[in-house]
Formats: sequence, structure tokens, C-alpha cells
Amino acid sequence: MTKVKSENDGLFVAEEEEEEEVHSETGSPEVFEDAGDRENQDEEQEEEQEEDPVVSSIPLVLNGLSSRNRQSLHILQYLGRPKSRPFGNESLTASVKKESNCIEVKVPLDTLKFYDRARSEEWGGDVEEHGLQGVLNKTDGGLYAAKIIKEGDQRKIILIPVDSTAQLRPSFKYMDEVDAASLVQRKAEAASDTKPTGVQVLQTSAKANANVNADGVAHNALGEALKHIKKFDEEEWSPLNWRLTDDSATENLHKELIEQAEAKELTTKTTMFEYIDKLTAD
Amino acid sequence: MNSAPVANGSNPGGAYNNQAARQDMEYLCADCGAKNEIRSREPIRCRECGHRIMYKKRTKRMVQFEAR
Amino acid sequence: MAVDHESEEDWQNAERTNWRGLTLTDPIKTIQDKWLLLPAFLKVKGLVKQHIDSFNYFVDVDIKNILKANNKVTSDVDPRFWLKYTDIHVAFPDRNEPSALDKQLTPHECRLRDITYSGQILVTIQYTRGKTIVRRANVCIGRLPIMLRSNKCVLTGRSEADLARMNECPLDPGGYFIVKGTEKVILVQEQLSKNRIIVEVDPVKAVVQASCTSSTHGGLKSKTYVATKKGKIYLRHNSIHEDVPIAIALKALGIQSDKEILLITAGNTEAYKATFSPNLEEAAKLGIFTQHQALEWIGSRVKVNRKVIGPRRPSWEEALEALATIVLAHVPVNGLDFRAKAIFVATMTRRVLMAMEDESMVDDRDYVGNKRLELAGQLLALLFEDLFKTFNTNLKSAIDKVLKKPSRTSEFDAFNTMQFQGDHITSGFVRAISTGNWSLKRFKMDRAGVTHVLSRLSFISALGMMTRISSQFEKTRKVSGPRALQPSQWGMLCPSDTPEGEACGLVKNLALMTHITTDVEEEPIIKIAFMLGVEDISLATGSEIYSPGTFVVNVNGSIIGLTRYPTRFVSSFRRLRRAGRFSEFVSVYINHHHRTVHIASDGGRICRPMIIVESGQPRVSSKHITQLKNGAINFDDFLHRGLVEYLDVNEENDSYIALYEQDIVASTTHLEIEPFTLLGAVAGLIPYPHHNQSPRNTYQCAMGKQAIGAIGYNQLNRIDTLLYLSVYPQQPMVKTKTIELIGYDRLPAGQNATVAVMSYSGYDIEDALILNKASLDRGYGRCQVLRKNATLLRKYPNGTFDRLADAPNDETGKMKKYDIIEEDGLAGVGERVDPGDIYINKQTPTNANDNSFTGQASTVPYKNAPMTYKSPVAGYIDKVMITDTENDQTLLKVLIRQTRRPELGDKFSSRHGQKGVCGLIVNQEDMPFNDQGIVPDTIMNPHGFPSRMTVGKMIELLAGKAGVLAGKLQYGTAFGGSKVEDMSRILIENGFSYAGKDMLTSGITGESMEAYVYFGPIYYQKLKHMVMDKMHARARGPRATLTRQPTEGRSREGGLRLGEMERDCLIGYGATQLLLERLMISSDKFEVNACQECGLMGYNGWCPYCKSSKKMSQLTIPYAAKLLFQELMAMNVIPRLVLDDA
Repeated sequence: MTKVKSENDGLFVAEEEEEEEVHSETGSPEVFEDAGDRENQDEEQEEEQEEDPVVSSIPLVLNGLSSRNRQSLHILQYLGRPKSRPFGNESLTASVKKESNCIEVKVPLDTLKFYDRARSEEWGGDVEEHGLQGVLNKTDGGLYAAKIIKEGDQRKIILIPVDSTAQLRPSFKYMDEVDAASLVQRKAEAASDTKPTGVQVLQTSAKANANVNADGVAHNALGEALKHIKKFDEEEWSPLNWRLTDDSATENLHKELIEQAEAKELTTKTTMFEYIDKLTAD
Repeated sequence: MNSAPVANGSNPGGAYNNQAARQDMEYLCADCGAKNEIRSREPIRCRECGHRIMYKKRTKRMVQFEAR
Repeated sequence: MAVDHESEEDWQNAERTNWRGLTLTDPIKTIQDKWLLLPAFLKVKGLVKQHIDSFNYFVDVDIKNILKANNKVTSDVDPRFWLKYTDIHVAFPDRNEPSALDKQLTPHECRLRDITYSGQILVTIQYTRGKTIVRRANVCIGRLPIMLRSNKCVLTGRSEADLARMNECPLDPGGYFIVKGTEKVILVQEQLSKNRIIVEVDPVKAVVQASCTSSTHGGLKSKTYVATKKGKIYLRHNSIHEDVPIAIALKALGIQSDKEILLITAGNTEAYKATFSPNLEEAAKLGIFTQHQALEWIGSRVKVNRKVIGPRRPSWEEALEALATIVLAHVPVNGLDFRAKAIFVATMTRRVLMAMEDESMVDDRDYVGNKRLELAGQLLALLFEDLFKTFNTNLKSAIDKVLKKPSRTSEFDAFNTMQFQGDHITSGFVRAISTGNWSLKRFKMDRAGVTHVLSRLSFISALGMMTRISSQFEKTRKVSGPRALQPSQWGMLCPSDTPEGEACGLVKNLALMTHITTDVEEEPIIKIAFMLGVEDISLATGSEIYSPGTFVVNVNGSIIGLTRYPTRFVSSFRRLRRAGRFSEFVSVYINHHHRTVHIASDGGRICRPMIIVESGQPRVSSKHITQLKNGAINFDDFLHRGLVEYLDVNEENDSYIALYEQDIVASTTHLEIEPFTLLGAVAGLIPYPHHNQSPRNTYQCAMGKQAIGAIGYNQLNRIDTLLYLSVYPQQPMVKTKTIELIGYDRLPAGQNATVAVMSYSGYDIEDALILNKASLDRGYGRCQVLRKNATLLRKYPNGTFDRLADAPNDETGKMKKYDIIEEDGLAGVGERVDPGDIYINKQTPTNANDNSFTGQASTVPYKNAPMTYKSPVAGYIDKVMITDTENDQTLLKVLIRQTRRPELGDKFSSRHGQKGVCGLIVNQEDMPFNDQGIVPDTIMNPHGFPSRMTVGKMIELLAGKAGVLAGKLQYGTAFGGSKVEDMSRILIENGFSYAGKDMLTSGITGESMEAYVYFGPIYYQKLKHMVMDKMHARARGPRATLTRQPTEGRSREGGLRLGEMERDCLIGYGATQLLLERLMISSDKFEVNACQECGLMGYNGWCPYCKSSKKMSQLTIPYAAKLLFQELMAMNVIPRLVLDDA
């Protein structure tokens, strides 16, 4: 088994027109907070132990998308896909449900290798693409993509704030659809039998109703989780454009993110303790 | 007696000698030590400080202890 | 500190001659008087402070959270109406009478008047009245009993003089409630910690299970298991009928691919993968592949317990709802993201896999780190939430009722409705605390015996009650685990103080220097953890979580992220805590077995302070102690400066703690403040406990609570049901530091008796003591017993009332039994009360319960209902108190005092679990004496020593004797105290034998004794068990009405039972006539007429069944037998007597 999380395949999908795939050093998803240069902070601590001296310091550069109001940046993790098989130039399609914070990427299946056509028939005929779904987890502005740039001897780290991350998992919609179809069929067959029981249902519900009043605590008919499901089902997928890695737009964006002119070099303004106080306030 | 809880003199239940020594029974406020009288079915409250607890004064009779 | 990596190297360094400028042989600098940190600690925390802190937390913080969670009342009738609570606070206790001039209420007044020490719960409300929004502040919704010395109590922060003015003892610990005049304690309850995974193995059934009790703030509790069954793993929960195969459970939680399931549970470990694989097969066999299928599978097995309107939901929705809200309720589910819950289930599974591979990977549920202590604040919070919710639903229905009316004269004002809500909250609190029944249906809680009456037998018994911890385990179960002494309770729970018998080891006591935490908000802690480099768990997959060198970070049991540098993370986290950046009670530790870092900020953890050691040097120096002595700094300053920190049990286990300074090595992280703090307050009274056999200390802990002494500076102002007081209490010659810290030297319970350890007369066998009569005359062991006798003068609903009457006269004048009754119908204060005397001459109306009575109340006939003195020994009227209760009934309390000198059979004990009864009282002239003419107060038989091995008692005698001679008090503090060598030196200097033995002369023969006698002062306690209260015998007396057998018990002047086993003896011996006499003739013999024909009982020689008197015969049987026959007949069973000539 190979390593699963393709962490270097960090992929950025801008929401609007410019779709792309950017290779960047996501590295470890280490969390850095704004204005936080840890090494500088550590120096300020009175009794920094001798065992952990500062070897060198690397400047941090904060960068971001030039048009944040139109664009957003997300990290997609492809669980279960080996690092050795990055999405090269396959034609992927992506769509999003903004309200439910869901993203879906469709990957075409290689029908030539390891493909069971019989099974595919069983599941409704043309299972030719592979759906990957994930929930976009908001980062609250605390997560950055980083890349170390070497310019001769000089090194610098570029930080790019990320809006959300998502772990993409395969969805097996085609199987559920087969189930649903057979259920509908069974219901139709059994429709005539169920009629007399309809009265009973009414009675029980009336009884339940009385209980609510006695208890005084009315439950919502739908719990939190089901409300979200309902919202999800009602929302339409809005399609996104998928840009390949070697697309010019992708390359432009990549360049922009790394070499943007307004990139700010970060300096420490707060002490670590001030920062902690800010964190622990209220 | 004037002290509270006792009903006025009439006592159908038993033959009690009520008239003797009806003089004022005095009680001491637990808070300020003021002398108070307690009246029948009136709330017990010190007229000096309003405290609600009264102690009975020590008896005037002689009490002899056996020293052992 | 990154101890693990450095330790090796530092050890090597330590062997070099010059390590940190010192050689190993250099003397270690000790911190002079570092024990002074202990009194400084006790000023801010410790002993009963946990009760008070917990209550304060409830009143200041938690009550506001509860209000916030239930802050809106709306109406079903009028959707425009709403009522919002915006603020809540609890007021100081006040008198609940509008007419009172001085509203301030003191606890002492509550005790005397049998009222509740409670303060108003005041809320600020906003609501709609018509179209306007009205705001009202300080609306009272009920009264909350206030814990004494909490920050809502009038006693807090008062000087000793102020306290004296309020009739309160400055040494009283507080931490209890006064409800209807009785002092009630909510004992600390011990529970298994919530939201943590516990893995257990049942070796018999070969079952491994991980369980987790989830508890959310709403009070919802549920237990989830991940357990093996026939080699496969299942998820089990109460709300699901059937065990869910773990693969299906994970699929339902959104982990659909088998590859990911395997990765998130077994990781990349081959062994775990192999063990886990059958589970994947099972899901496939059941045809479950997708999340939807899994939800359908579970949904059809969920217990539907809905009161919801509408048609049945599809089963997958049922399952989703259950998984989101009930299963592992404490793990949050954000929208559609079930990932956090999936990871938690996977972690549980992983722990099961680990325990399947390696038996030693199980948890110990008796480990103190896995326990949480529930205190008064938490219990009251639950109760308040329940009462408040009911209050709101009542309010809502009352509002609905008003709004339903079509036309109203005035505009509807919800405030008025609120005023008419009654005292639901007040009475709810009072009922729960006074009965101890916490039955809250809303939270599925039904506990009895939560509260106890504070025992005021002695100061120590009251204090001991405040530190007591009761366990939830069943007392009858015969498992030794929960009862055994746990190594992890070192320093947290007293190893000595536990009762003997059925509750042994289940009831524990806190050690001297412990504190129990209250909840600390976890969000800031999580933020700090992320700041320190923790990687968010939502970005991780199984391969990262279980990759070597990665540690999972947990906050209060929920997984938040990963770290690859646990030691660095933990040490920087600790550094921030020491710098005071967040609460000192947040603990962090590494569990290397599970490769986890745990951060805990929840309430109920036991912790204690420790001196921080850095680079082999304790951070506290003599300089700091000097500052402490001068009062320049206090304990909190020690905390804030990072000199001292609190460690809970888990963090303690992750630290390297030196007991003494000389034990500090390079890897040491902490230093104990004082070793004797490992004992509790009660065990702290024992001098030299480290020289005693351990059960002796346990015995003393039980007996110290029964010792008669002083109970408080206000003891003579108290009117308790039963009060034992010592007439001449003395502080012990041999003290301990604990004694001074808790104030036992100011409220002692015992006397320093001069003891000769020798045999005398034979009346001293079996631990009996010989007492010197002259000592008794001088007041040794003399005590007073004060008993309260109270009555209410009631007012009845029909207008009649009770009254007091003066003494009636008969022919000879005043009757003897009315002798002490004065004109007000009450006994004179100071008068002697003889047995049979009346001290309250109360009369009740004969028609008190006749509610149809309408006549003049003053004309009704009265019957006598006097209070009669029943004790066989005369007493004296100490106090007569008259007051009104809260509902304006007159309350009378008469305190009667007896003074008792020790007599034969009274029980005494030293402080070493050596109890004995007085066997003989000897005239002083017959007692032995030494060459100075000193006569012992007590003679103790030397046979008490060999088997008991109470060496501490011997040293106490030695130290006491030296103290007497030097005119100083000596110390017997545990693991320290005055040294025997020094004591011997003092004895020699004063011309005594170094061994403490004296040459005695017999008082009887006048000859010198043939042996030297161990002779000196030992602190003796008089215990409450006195012969006078036990002595009982009867020749004839009262019988029970139903069975006509003699009554049972001393209080009913009962007979002495010849029981089953005694009966067996008599049968064995063949003493039939004696049996007959004991069991029938002297008991309940009864003459019956029985018919030989029908075998039934008749009367007067007549059989009503046979209608004849022919074959009747008379016989004697026990009345109980006759009763049995009749009862059987009443049940349609006919017993027939078959008579035969003997």
C-alpha cells in the first residue's frame, strides 16, 4: 500500500472562472497564525533553553490571491489515491454546493484496466466516472499554504491563506440509485397491501401529539443533522471549471501566488504573550 | 400569665390556678439582651432590635448542685 | 521539560565530578521551613475549599450558562409574545419576611429558628407587553440555599470579632448548607470520568471492550461501547437493538471505502490489519457498501423513542439522527461532517485492537486519574436546570392560559403571571437537600442519600465529613478492586482514613493538600494548542494519525489534532501555564502507550500543588519562604511566579517528583512540599503515625470522630439535638503540624493523661483501663451531654391553636412532676429535671383536626400534651428558647444538660487505635506512685502493645514526658517530628531514665515495684459510647400490641432476645422446659380453646364450627402462633390443631 494522502497534490480551485491546479509545497499542514513568527517569539521568551538555539531565520512573506472577493482558495485532499498517481491531465469536472459547503469532483474511470463491465451493468449501465465528494472545512483564517523559495543563498517562505480544506472521499451514488430504484419498485408492488394500515398510522401520530403537549417540550421534527441533509438535497450543484496543471491560467495564478508584487514581508509586532492573551480573551 | 402561647385564663380542660402570679414573665432577646414580654399569639420579636429569638430568664428559685 | 531525551545524558553528567559546579558529595541546600507553603495553601485552597469553590462556580458562572441555554419563553397562542431572561444572580441570604427591619440573616439564627439559610435568585427579564418591550431587573424566581463561607455567605471575609458577634465559630469550616435548621452536607461523589475511553478485558468471556460515557452540558448521558464478539468488533449502544458491525458503523459515519476504514482503525500495523480484516468481510457479506446502505441497516435497528408529530421517518434518517445526537453525544457533528465522530469511533476500535494484541494495553478503572469527583456545585447546577426548565414550562402554560382568553380587561403583563408561579424552585431545592433525593427525570438521574446531616459530635467529625468522598459502587459487591488502596491516590486521598466494614475502601477522604478543579473553558486552550503547532485532525488520515512518532492531542477526551513533537509541545504548554497564561488547573500529560497527549480542563479532577524543579534546582528558595513569612507574598504569588504548580493525577504520573531535596536528580521535575500532606485532616491528628501498624491508624481515624471535646467556639450558643462537650479539654502535649493547621489545638477533644503501662488488679484485661478516682474528681474525662427537646405550638386550619398552661394544683398544692413549671408553662432555666418531670406543659385542642368546627377558638376544650423528661438520670434545664418559624408557628426549644463523670464501662482511646473501657476506678491512695509522688491518671495493661505494634504510642509517651519536663509541646508529625534521641536527652537532663521508665511504689503494699514502669503522658480521648446511654435490663415491661411479645430496643424498654442461635444451644442441650419458659411462658403465652373434632380454635369451651362444646380442650400456645393461624385463615388456608395426649 502506498501513502494515501497526496499531500503534495494540494490543489487550489478558485471558485469563479479561473480554475487551476497548482503544485505547491503544502508540506505539513502546520498551523501558523497571522503575524506569527515562532522563532522570533521564542527568542523573546526570557528563558529559552540553551539546548534549542536559533540556527537561522527565514523571512516570511504573506501573499494571497489578488482578487479575494471573487476568488477563494481551497485545499483538496484525495484520500485513498496514491501519491504516485497524481491527477495529470485527466479531464476532471467539479461542482460545488455553496450553502452546504460541499464539493464534488468527477474523475473518469479507466475502463480499460481493472474494470468489471458486468458489475457496471448491474449498477445501472454506464459507471464511467468516479465521484469524489467532500465537506469544505472552513479554516477561520488560521491555515496557510506555504512554499519555501530558494533564491541563491536566500530562502523565504511564502504563506498563502487558505479558505477551507476538504477531504474527498469516493461516493457510490450509482449503488444507492440502484437501491432506491428497487425500493420504489417494491413499494409500488406492495402499495395495495399497505392501504388498510394507513388509519393506524394516523392514530399513533395523534397519540404522539398528545405526549408532546404533556411533556411541554416540543422537539423539532427534524434534528440538526437532518436539516443539513435536507438543505444539501435541495441545493443544486453549481458547476466549476477545471483547469489543468499546464494550462496557462493555472501557471499565471501559480506565478502570481509566488511572486506577487504586493507580497508583504512579515515582521513581529506583538509579543507571544500579547498574542496568547488575544487568544484566551473572553 | 401574660406570656404568649397560653390562652387567656379560661381553661375548660383542667382545673388550673391561673390567677396566681400572673405577673409579667420577661424574656431576653438573643441578640441585644433587652427584656421583652411575649404576648399571646403575637409574633415573637424584640421591641428593641426586632430579633426573633427569645430566651427565658434564669429561675429565681435556689438551685442546689451536688458536687461530685 | 524534554525529560526523556535528556535524562540519559544528564545521568552521565551527574557521574562526573563537576556537574553544574557541584560534586555529588556537596551538601544539598535545603529550603528552610518550606512546609510554610502549606498554611499559605490552606488559606486559599484545600480542605473544604473545594466545596466552596464548586458552589461559587455554580453561583457565579454556571447559573448564568444555564440561564443562557434556557433564556426564552414563548407562547403557542400569541406568536408575538416572548419573554427573555437576560441576566441572573444570587443575592446574599436575607430574612424572608417583608416586615423585618434588619434583613440580614445569620446562619446561627437559621439553626435556632429551624429556617433555611437561602438567598434570592434574581433575574433580569425582557418581555413584550402589547407592542412595547418591558425590561425588569431583580425579579425573584426562587430562593437558593447558600453554602456557608461561600461568596454569597455573610460570614465570608469577616474578622474573628465579627464572627463572634454573629455567634459563629471562626474555626468552623463551612461548606455545608442550613436547611430547615439542620446542617446538611452534600458529600463529594466519586465517578468514572466522562468522555474518556476506557478499555477493559473480560478474561473469562475473552471480550475486549472500549467504552465511553458521553456527557454534554445539556446533561444528556449515554454510554457507547466498541467491543469484540467472536473475534469481530461491534459498536454497541443503548439506542440500537443490535450490535453494529464496526465496518457498518464507520460506513454510516461516512468512511465508505474499505481501504480508508482499515487505515483509520488499524493504520499500517500488519498485526492490527490482520485482526481487523474479518470486520470488513462481514460488512461485505451483509451487502453494505455505501453510507446510505449502512444507515438503512442501522436505521431499521434504532429504538424509536419519538414523540414527534408526523409520519414515520425513513429508517436511514432515524439512523443519521441517532448517530449525530445520541451515539457519542459529546463529539460534535458540524453540518454534514461526521469525520470527528468517525475518528473517535476509529480510535476506540484501535484501542480494542491494541488490547486484543497486548493484554497490558487495558485501562484501570480504579486509577484515580480516571475518576472525577462531583461536588455540591455540579449537583445543584443539575437541580437548578431541572427546576428552572419546569418553572419555564409552567410559566409558559400559565401565560398561554391567559392569552387564550379572548378579551382581557387590561393589557397582559407577563410579570404578574410570573409572580404567581409559586415557590417551585425554592421548595425544589429545600426538598432535595433535606431529603437527599436527587431525582431528575429530565436527566435520567435518580440518586438517594446525596446529602447527610453534618455530624457535630466533635470538631473532627464535622471536618472529616467535609473531606469525605463516597463512591457510586455497590457496597454489597464482592470485588476488591475499587476498595483496594491505589498507588495513584498517593497525596490525593488519605491512605488511612476509611471506615471499617462494608464501606471499607469505598468511602475515602481527601488528603490535606488537595484541590478539586472546576470547569475551565476549553476553546482558548484548544486555540493555544493549535498555536503551539498542533495539526488539525480534520486534515489527517489514518496514515498520519498512526505514523510512528506522531502523537494524537486530546482536549477533555475529544481528539483535536496531531503533533510530532509531543515533549516540546507539552513543555511549552506547561511553560505557558506556569506563566499564568491560562488557568493553573489545566493539566497536560503524555501517554506513551497510546501515543497521545492529553489536555484536561474539566472539573472534578483531584490535584495538588508541587514545587517546580528546574535543572536540578527547586524554584522555591529560602528567600521566597522569608517573603512568605513576612506576608509579602502569598500562595497565589508562588503560582503566578511559576515556583509552584498544581498537578493532577495524570500529570503527576508524567512527572518525576522528589520526596526530599536530597533525592533531586537531573531528571527531577518536581519536589514535594511536605510528605505529611499525604494524610488527611483526621489521620493528621495521630502522632508518629509512621511508626504504627497501618490498621491502627485507620482505627484511630474512625475513633477520632467519636471523641468528646470542644466542637466550636459557639458550642454553648448552639441548640443541637445531641451535643457532647468535654468539661476540661486540653490540647495534646504531642502535636502535629496538621493539628495546628486545622485548629485541633484550639478545639481539642481529649486530655493528656499520665499513663503507667503496667498490670493492675486483673480488672485491666482485654484492654480495660484503670482510672484514678482522684483524677475523676478533678475533672478528668468529665463531659456534658446536652439534649434538645423541641415542640411547635401549632395553629390549626380550623382556627384553634395549641397553648401552654401553668402547673395545675391538686389537694396538696402543686404536683411533684409540675414542680419546675413556671407560670408560662415552661420549666425554669437552671432547674433540676428529675425523671418523669414535665418541662413543657403544652395543651392541644381536642378538635384540632375537625375542619368543620367554626366556633370560638378560645372556648374549645383542651387536652394535655406535655413533654416529660425520660432519662433515668436527672438533668438541668440549660436554655429555654422561644421563637417563630418561617410560617409563624411558635417554636419552643428546651436544652437539658447532664454532667457526667467517667464510670465503669465508659470508653476511652488513645490516638493510636487503642480503645478500652474503664475496668476499675481506684482510690488515689491505692494507685502506684513514683519518687516524686506523681500518681497516674490511668493504668494501661502492657498486653495492649505486642500484637498491636503501636510504636507511635510509645514514642508519644516519651515525647510527651520530655515535653512536660522541658515545658514545651513536642511534635509527632508524620515522617518527621521530635526525634526519640532528643527526647531521651531531655529526660536524662531532667534526671529521668532515657527509656521513659520510672521506678514506682505500689500504693497497696507500699513496696517498690519489681520492674521499672513505662510512665508518662499520653493524649486520651473519651469516646461518646457511655455506659449510661447503653445500660438496660428488664424483668417485665411493655409488650407490642400486635404480637403481645416484649418490645424491642432500649428506647422502648424492650426485652433481651433469646435468638435463634441461643435457641439452638438449648435444643442441643435438651433443656426443653427452659425453652418453653423463655419462648412462651415469659413471652406471649396465650390460652386457647381448641376443638379436637375439627382442630379449629373456639372460645369459652365452645366450638363455633362444630356448634358443640363436647370435645373442647384448653391449651397454652404463644399468642404469635394463634395470630399466625388466624392470619392463615384470613388467606383461605386452614390450619388444624391435631391434639394428642402427651
